Amino acid sequence: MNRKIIFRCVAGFVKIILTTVVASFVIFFVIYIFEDNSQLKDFGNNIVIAYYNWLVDFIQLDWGWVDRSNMKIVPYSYNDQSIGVINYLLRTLSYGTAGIILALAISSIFTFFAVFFYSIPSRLLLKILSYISGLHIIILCFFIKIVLGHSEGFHILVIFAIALGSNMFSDIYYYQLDQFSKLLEQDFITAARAWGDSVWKHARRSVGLGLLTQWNALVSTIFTSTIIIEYYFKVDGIGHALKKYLIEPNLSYPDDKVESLFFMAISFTVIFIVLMLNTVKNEIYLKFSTSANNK
Amino acid sequence: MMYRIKILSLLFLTLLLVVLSMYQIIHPDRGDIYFYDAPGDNGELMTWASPFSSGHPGVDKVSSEKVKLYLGTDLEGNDLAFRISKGVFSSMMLSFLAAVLIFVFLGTFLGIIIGFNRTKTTIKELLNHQERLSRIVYHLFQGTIDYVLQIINAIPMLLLVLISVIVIEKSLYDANELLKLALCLFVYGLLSTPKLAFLIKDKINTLEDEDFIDAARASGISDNKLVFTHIIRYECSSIIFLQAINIFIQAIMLETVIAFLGYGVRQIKYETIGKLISEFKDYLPGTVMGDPLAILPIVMLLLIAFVGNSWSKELLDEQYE
Repeated sequence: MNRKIIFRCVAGFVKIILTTVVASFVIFFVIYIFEDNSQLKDFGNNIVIAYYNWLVDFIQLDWGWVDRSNMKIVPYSYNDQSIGVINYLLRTLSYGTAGIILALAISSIFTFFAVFFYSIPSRLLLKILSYISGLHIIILCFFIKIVLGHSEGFHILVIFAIALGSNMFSDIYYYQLDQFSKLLEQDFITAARAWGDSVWKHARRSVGLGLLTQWNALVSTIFTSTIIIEYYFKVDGIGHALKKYLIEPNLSYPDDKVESLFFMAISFTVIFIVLMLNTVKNEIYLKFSTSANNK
Repeated sequence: MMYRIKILSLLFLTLLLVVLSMYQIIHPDRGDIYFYDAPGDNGELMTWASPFSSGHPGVDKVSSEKVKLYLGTDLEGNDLAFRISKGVFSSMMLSFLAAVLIFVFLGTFLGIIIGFNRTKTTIKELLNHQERLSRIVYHLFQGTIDYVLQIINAIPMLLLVLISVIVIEKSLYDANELLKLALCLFVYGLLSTPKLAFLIKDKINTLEDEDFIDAARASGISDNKLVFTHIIRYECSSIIFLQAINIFIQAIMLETVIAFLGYGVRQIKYETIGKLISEFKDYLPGTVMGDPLAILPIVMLLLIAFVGNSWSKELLDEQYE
């Protein structure tokens, strides 16, 4: 049994590494081919050899420099002289996770009341939130800026915007509505209600599974939403780092080389984290569904 | 009754959007430079003139005809209705032609390839059973495409689009700005295809066990007809339509994001919603130089998103029912 688990973990990890390498090669390919004087061309004249050289350097934690600000790119930074990719990534992840938890909590509570207690205010609120969620995150940014006058830095509304932005809330809500409606028709729920038992006890499994089923789509969405929010409100994270070290220098000095090394470092770590989170989700989902079948 | 009212109001909003985007075509063309200048009585440009309230409709310098200002003017005195109409039209056309078409056709095609006639055995079993070489090759081909699509799906879209925008901007520096924008949206449509391909693959997988597929096969129907008529047309059309609406709106939003980042269309002769929003963002209500009219492009974007999302939600509800 233990050997089986170890084998599954190793196989999963190898798959993540392989997919990350291939996916980052796609980005490497785009930059290498289309940019004339790319920083990546310094690694070799042949694209495969250049990628191999870059990858070897990357594994040895030599992630290069940002030319314009002359700062070293490092995994984790302890001072202002270097750019720590993981520092930014952790902040983005924490905002994104907070957004997901908020969306899940709001959706679970109100859908539960709307379905099991036929609460009209809950239903109405969910409909409104679902419509708002259909709007793009950029519209929510404008809304926060115009109506609430918030222009820079972190604000609690940022978390709400991430939770509602880019269909994330809508996806969770529709899934839970479907699950709760199916659950309501089950005989054991009718029996539990007649008995006076708590329905929530039975519904909470759907809440967890709802998140897990939507997880793969959600991870990409939260990254996108959080990056845009960070970019717009200058909240410290990947979005702000991209603005500071990649987009602004590129717009101000269009003749300079694109900071490809910085972008590759960010891409590789983001792809790795996304795949890692998806694999962990798959394992949890498997465990959930296996335990449900055993019961 | 409520359903009818909902559908009618949605139809009205859609029509409003179409009329708004057509306004720039109906409106007379007044040359390239003074395309939509709207000067006041004394020939001066009216800065941020309110809708209908200027009291003195602008007079065109060239033809001396009166200009109606349905939505007032912008900071430069240009007819705002014309600019917004042109922006809405360009954004919608760009989104449809550059992103939606490639997304629908390539996504459906790839979905059929990776989903239809997918062998449920492993390659090892195929080799052991000494299957025909063409079947093994096809199996490998399906697997490879599936893997490539999974990899593209694993990369956060914004990162890929961002680097495409930067690289396109840099490598095609002197090219037409509208073309560069179209290229960015094309890349977005192309990279979104795995989403549709996987949905169609899942649908085909669930349909393969249905009786009508066996019946169609038994009656000697060709694979092409089975796929394109029975599976794609009757079973997958709502999925494709739903996803197409979604990508259509997302592409317009992406155009806004691109303009917002500082790339995209900047030349005066082109208008897009994104360009207008980023141009007016410093004049939004609440800022020092703010004006209520500066919010109009955002309202249009909101209207597009609302109409699109409402239609897709109606379709989704119909699917659930």
